[in-house]
Amino acid sequence: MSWLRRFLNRWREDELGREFDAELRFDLENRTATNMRRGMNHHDAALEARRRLGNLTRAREEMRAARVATWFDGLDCDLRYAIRVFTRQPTITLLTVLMLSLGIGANAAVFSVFEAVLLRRLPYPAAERLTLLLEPGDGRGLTTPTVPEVLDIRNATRSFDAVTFFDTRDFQTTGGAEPERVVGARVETSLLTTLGVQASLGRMFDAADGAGRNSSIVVLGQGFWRRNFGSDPAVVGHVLSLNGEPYEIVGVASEALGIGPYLPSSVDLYLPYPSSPDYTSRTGEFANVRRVTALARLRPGVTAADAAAELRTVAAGIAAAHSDLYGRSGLAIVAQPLHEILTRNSRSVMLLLLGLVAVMLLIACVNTAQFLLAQAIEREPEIALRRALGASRSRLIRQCLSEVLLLAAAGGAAGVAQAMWLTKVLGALVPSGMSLVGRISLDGTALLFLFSLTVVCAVVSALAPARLFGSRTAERLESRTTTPRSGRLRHAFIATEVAMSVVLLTGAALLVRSLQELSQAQGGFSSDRVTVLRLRGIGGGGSLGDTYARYLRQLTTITGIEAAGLTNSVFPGRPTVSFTLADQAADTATLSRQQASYQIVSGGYFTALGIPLESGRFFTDDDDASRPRVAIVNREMAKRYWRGSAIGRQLHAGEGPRASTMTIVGIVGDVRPPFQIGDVPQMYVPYRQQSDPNAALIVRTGPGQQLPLPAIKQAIRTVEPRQAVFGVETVDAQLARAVSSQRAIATLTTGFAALAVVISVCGIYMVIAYLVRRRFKEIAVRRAIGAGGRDVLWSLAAPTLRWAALGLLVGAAGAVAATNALRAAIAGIVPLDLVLGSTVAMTYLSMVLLVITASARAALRIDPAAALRID
Amino acid sequence: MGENRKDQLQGTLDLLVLRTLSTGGRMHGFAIAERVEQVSGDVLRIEAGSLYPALHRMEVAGWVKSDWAASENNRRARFYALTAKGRRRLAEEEEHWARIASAVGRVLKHA
Repeated sequence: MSWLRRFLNRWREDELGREFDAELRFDLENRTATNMRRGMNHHDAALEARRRLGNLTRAREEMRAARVATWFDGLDCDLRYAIRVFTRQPTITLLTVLMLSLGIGANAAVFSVFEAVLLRRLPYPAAERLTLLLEPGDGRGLTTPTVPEVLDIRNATRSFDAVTFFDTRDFQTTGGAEPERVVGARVETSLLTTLGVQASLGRMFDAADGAGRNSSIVVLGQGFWRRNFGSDPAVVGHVLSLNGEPYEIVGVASEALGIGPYLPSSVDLYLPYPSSPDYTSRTGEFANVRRVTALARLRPGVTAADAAAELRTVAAGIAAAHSDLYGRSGLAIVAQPLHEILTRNSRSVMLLLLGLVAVMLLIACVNTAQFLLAQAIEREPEIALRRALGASRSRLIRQCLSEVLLLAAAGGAAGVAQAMWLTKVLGALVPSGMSLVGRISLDGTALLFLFSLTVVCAVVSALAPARLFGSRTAERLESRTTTPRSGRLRHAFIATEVAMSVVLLTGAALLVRSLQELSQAQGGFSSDRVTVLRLRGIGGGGSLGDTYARYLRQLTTITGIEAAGLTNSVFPGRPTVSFTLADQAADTATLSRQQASYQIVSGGYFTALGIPLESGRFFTDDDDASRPRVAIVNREMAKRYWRGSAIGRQLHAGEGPRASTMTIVGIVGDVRPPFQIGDVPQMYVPYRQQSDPNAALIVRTGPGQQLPLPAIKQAIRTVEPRQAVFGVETVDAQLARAVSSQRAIATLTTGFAALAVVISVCGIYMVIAYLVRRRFKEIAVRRAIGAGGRDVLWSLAAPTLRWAALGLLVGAAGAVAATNALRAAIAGIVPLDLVLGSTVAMTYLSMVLLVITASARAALRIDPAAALRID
Repeated sequence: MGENRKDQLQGTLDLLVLRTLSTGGRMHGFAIAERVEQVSGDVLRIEAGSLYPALHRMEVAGWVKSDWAASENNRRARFYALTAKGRRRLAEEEEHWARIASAVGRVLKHA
């Protein structure tokens, strides 16, 4: 650690100096005394002693060099000098710093989001061993297991030291000003011990609650406690009415409880999962519903492969024991790491953004290098002189490094402010539940990243100019008529910048185009003055349709409502429900080929959303459970399966209790919801024949009318006083939200790409301007002996153009690769077509041409005589 | 070339100092110079301007350690002593020197 001691000694130089003096004085005095003892007189003795000591100053300097790290000597001079150099060219310096700060700030911000979304650990003990239990069904993707299955796995496996589950569902609280819909999580009690979550007030559930001894208890979520109870610490012991039943509040949960989108930390209430046989036995009423999320923690030392093997055996055992339920298809259960599942969707997008800003920063670095290189070449005579006077290579490289560090530090400092701002913007764009832990902010890790980034920038930018500073330039001292020697390097820089910019620009163009395509694609309905109001039906089965019908009848009494309908989803979903035609066998091939969306609606749904009736009729309130089953299909479906004449035909569709054979009574227009390109089969069934507690009222108000929300709520409550209405939102807002993440990514990419283009064009301008300046004399001579303006212009621009074209080619190849990556990462990206590609290339190339000619034209204005007189 | 030559002289000075300290124990700079001069029969004179920087370098390298104490004539002086590391270094330097000396001797004799 002697270097550290030497470094620290810089702060005790005075003390060291006194020591050196004392030591040398002691030597001097001793020598003098000895000389006098040998018979010299005092004068001669002192003189001889001085002589023996040699060069006193040099001795002291060498002693200091031994004791003190001298590397930093004169650093202040270097920095002062650098500032002087930079202030001579304030515009370019400022531009360079600005570019660096943009690059650094964007990178730090994206990194901070990246870190929060992907890298952070879940705040639970042994979080890396947490897995989700999932069932790879037959071709339908992963489904969740049923409660009896989870309980069997818990009892039969040894790979896990905890197996637990939870679900979330709606509740209606009553007792407040109006019924409120809240989200409650029903947690199996061992979940809380598995996650190690404590109550922040009162208590959480324990095993006794889980045993069903005390099921009418509730724990409040932080947000609900704050909103509805004003964070009242005396809330424990109060009674809360949920779906009309009284529940005792026993505690308030800690803010830390949350598992991504599976268990959002915004959950309002926690209840113990019911332990009655209705839920836990395979014959129970609710036991075979796949809606719980099953969490399992691997026992320490158990590998994923061990667990997978054991799960296979156990699942086979379960399937064998209940062959009536699982039949021939059997049962397969897998355990997937929770962290991987939570980060899977955002990983590619985040990596994309990170790559984007990294390229932007690289362009900024290349520009900085350009700038410094120009400086260095300009200062070649000065460097040569300094070397001739004895400055060492390392000393000159240090000069260069300190200049770069100064630029990078300024850029980094300015970058902090930008990163802070951008992190806030990005954080707002990230859907809640996507970040693993809490809020996204510019934290210590990100600042550390920013700092290292600054240093990396400096080093990268310094590579080329430092070589020049350190090179043997002495021979150039006499020849000031330098040739454009480093032209090749500088042109290679240009090519790099062009290539990178083209890739970014193409990516941005693709995203914007895709977004346009997405918003143009949607159609077949009218969203003008249409509002969605969600509700969750109270009561079950057949009575639900009757209740909804009474709501709809009440709504017709309200003035200002032009049309109102009921549906279980605002737009048709993807075609995933299999159907068979009247005389078809239900074999697997047919079922997997014939799929349509399946939506439960009232007749008013079509009028409210302006979906046109092409033939037949809409549903009426008479299409109820007592009448023959009917359906409406869209034009696409009618065309595909009945050559357009579908009215009166029959089809069979639906799963479980919904399975039924229906007669088609109407054909409506095709609806294209966001993200759906082209038309797909769509099927509608009447709400009085099939029921779904998840419902939405679609209300179209009259022209110039406000939504009469209080009247609507009032009308509904005259039918069912406990009914909460929530999620009130216009269809337009909902559509915008559907593409919001695409829009966010497109906006960001466009912003970053635009910056990158500006930065690279600035860089190209800097290079050309510089090259032209260096060739003033040559140009002057050529002009003087009669070269035409066009020839000179061409000779100046040609090499740069050639390199730019090369960069364009490389960029095109990169753009193709980037497009593939983009399409893999984000849904709904259009493929790269030649028109888009060449438009991007031409746009960029014309900008480059403009810059090149602008700076080259400046050269033509030189007065040959004046230019030749320079030097 | 010049650098090399300086290194060689430096090495010789280090060798002399280390060797002197190994027999003389704790000594101040002046005493080291005197001792070398005496033993070499006034042939080798160490310039103080080289001796002290060398001592400081050796201390930073960990071959010697120093402390301030009263000298024989009761003045404050910096005393140097050999460390274990310095002892090892001395052995290396001695061996090196012996090899060089014998090599030079052989050349003088036979070339």
